[in-house]
Amino acid sequence: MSGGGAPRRRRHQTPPGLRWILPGFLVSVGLIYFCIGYSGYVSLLPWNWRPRRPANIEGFDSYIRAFKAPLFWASLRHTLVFFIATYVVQCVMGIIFAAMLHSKVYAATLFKVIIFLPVVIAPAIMAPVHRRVFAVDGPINWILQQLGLVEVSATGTRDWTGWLSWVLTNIGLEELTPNWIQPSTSLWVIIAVQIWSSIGIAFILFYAAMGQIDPEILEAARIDGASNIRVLVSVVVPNLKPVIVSLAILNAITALKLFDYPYLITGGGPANSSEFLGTYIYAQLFGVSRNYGYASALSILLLILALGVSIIMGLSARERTPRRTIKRGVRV
Amino acid sequence: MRGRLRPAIALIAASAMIMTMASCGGGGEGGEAPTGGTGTAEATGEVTWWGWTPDTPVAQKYIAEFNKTHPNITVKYTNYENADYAPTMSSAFQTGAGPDIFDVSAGGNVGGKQLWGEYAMDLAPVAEQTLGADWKNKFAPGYVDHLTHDGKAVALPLGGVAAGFFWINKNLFDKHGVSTELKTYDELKAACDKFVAAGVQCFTMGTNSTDTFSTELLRNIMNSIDPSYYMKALHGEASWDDPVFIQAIDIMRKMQSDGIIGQDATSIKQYPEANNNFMSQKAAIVQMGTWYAQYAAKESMVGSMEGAGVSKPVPFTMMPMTSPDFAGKGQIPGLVAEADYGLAINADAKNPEAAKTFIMWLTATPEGQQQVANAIDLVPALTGIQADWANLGLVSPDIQIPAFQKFFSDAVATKESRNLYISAETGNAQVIAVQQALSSKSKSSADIAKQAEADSIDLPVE
Repeated sequence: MSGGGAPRRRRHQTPPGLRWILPGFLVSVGLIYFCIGYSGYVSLLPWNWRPRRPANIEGFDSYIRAFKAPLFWASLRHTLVFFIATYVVQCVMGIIFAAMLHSKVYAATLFKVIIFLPVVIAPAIMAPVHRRVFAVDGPINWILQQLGLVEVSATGTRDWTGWLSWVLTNIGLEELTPNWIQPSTSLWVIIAVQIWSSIGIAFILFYAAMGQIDPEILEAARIDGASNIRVLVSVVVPNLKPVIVSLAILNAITALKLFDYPYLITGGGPANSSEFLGTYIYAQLFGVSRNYGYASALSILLLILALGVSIIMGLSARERTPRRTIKRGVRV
Repeated sequence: MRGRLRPAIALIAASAMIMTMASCGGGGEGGEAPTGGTGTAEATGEVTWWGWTPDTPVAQKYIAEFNKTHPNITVKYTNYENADYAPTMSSAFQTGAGPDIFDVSAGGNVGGKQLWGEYAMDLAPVAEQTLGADWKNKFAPGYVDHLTHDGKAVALPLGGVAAGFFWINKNLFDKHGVSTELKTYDELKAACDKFVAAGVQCFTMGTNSTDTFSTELLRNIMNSIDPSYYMKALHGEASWDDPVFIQAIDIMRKMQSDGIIGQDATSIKQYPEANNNFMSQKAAIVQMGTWYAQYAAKESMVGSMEGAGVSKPVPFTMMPMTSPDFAGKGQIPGLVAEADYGLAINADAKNPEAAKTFIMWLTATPEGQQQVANAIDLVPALTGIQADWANLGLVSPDIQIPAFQKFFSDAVATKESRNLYISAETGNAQVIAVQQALSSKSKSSADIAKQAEADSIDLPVE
């Protein structure tokens, strides 16, 4: 009697699906969490440690080094600018495209394909094209030249035409020249390319969300005399809040882990002007001195940042429920 | 059923964890590099060789010639772009998946011995057994020392290299009536004015990369201001924010504003873009070293021009040209030279005996070194070897052979090293300085020099 009860209880305590989740569990724990833990361990080794060297834990020196490094803060600043710029433009343009294509537009399917196509093209394929587009003698400067905004000097260099140069100088933008891969503009080149390549995602999400809006609400707004723009701003956009929040999270994570476009188009430069955390970590790990300790510390900081941003945005995105207040002893 | 399953699951889990840990944490422990032993005639099998140089066709010629006497060894060569070499090697060594043979250079941030030397076995015993006790003297002076790291011969030199001069497209110079001897800054400027007026880019260079090609012009300029300054700064006897460095930045900026350096310098890379500009005859001058002579032969030039996008290439005459006196002090910058690169054997090589056989053949036998000499990619490391100049298929042998011979012999005689004492940090700091010089209007030359000084790290003299 006593011998028969215990095993039966143990059998019930074993999760019945264990064998099915085990492969995935092992991959997750083994490949992801173990490597995160290993990176954490390496980050505590000397900042310039590399494999095959004696490993002595030196504490948080690499983290202190990161906080003192101007390039670390510059990378974060670039990440923030990148996030804000891409997010704002994606939302605005995504909503505009979605609204336009919900109306009766001729060849709407073709426009949808054109808008979404850049999303499915690999950055490695497009990067050489973008390098050419933004080259000194590339298409953008050619267009500006045809518009009379850029002129070619006797020495073969391209510069703004006289009046535009005067204007830019007087508003403090004398650094801005039609050489786009340079410190004052290289970050904006990356931002422009990212917007081009990802606006299709925003468009698709907004387009789908707009399709979910109850037509009766829109009809009611029109009966009340609202114009198209008023309907869009006051009725449609508030209903898109979940997509707007989701895009914020997606863009924040994209910005934090950005690597491909800056590496392939500008190499993080010139003079580190388009360095992001991803390219900074890569440069520390592979590019110059192979500082495994320092690169691991930067990776852990990136992980913490990504987690923090996700949690904050996730919490702020929760539907706010009205607080229960008590008035005069009566729960309302 | 469950009773039988549980141990099996535990076993699978343990095995998976061990495999995962091994793959993630590979390379964490130190390993003594095996030494000794020589390549034997019986060595057979496959050997892998990774390098950023030579170009694949050149390597294939070496291997084909090697296989005439060693048919039982298969050498598989993989060429990487300069910027890709370090990431590839880093990952490979960490995971134990490195090649048997790999390139190592005297310095620099691509294949510098300070980066990769610790993964190589000591080749001194092999060389001594093959060449005798005075094996070091069989190579050009200093070459073995250039590739010695922590007292270990980490690689045997394949050949030497010199830089600090220009390559010009003589056809373009002749076509536009430009003298091929530009000795002063003003002469260079006048030549560039003619080229620009004719729609030809004068001097092409690419700085949009971590490689240090662009810094060689900066060094050239510094050497025209004060020939002793650069080496003093490398050895910590002068600082990088010295007036010489600042003046060199000023001159480089002037070169850009005068239209000598193209405006695209910060947006392109030396390889492939600047190289392509020169090989496609869009640009008349490029700064490269002796390795560039390999494209002077008709066959390799046609291949390079096709690679640069020329559909029906007609080979042109490329010539080396001494740098002008940039600073106007009557000082023509001299060459800088050293052992370019050598071949190392991975301490964890899968087939070390065959690797030793191949390396010793290519670096230490007259047959192997003759192949190196005839590729005119390098100055042969083994003394007494000369390229078979008359049969290389040069475009204009009458004028090219004497010019090439002079530069190659000057390379051997040159005392100033090229990359030997440049740490990766110092090289990178100078790349940043050049990028800032050519792209930032607001940052002063003094500020650029100050940052270069702050970011540089001196290497201990070995």
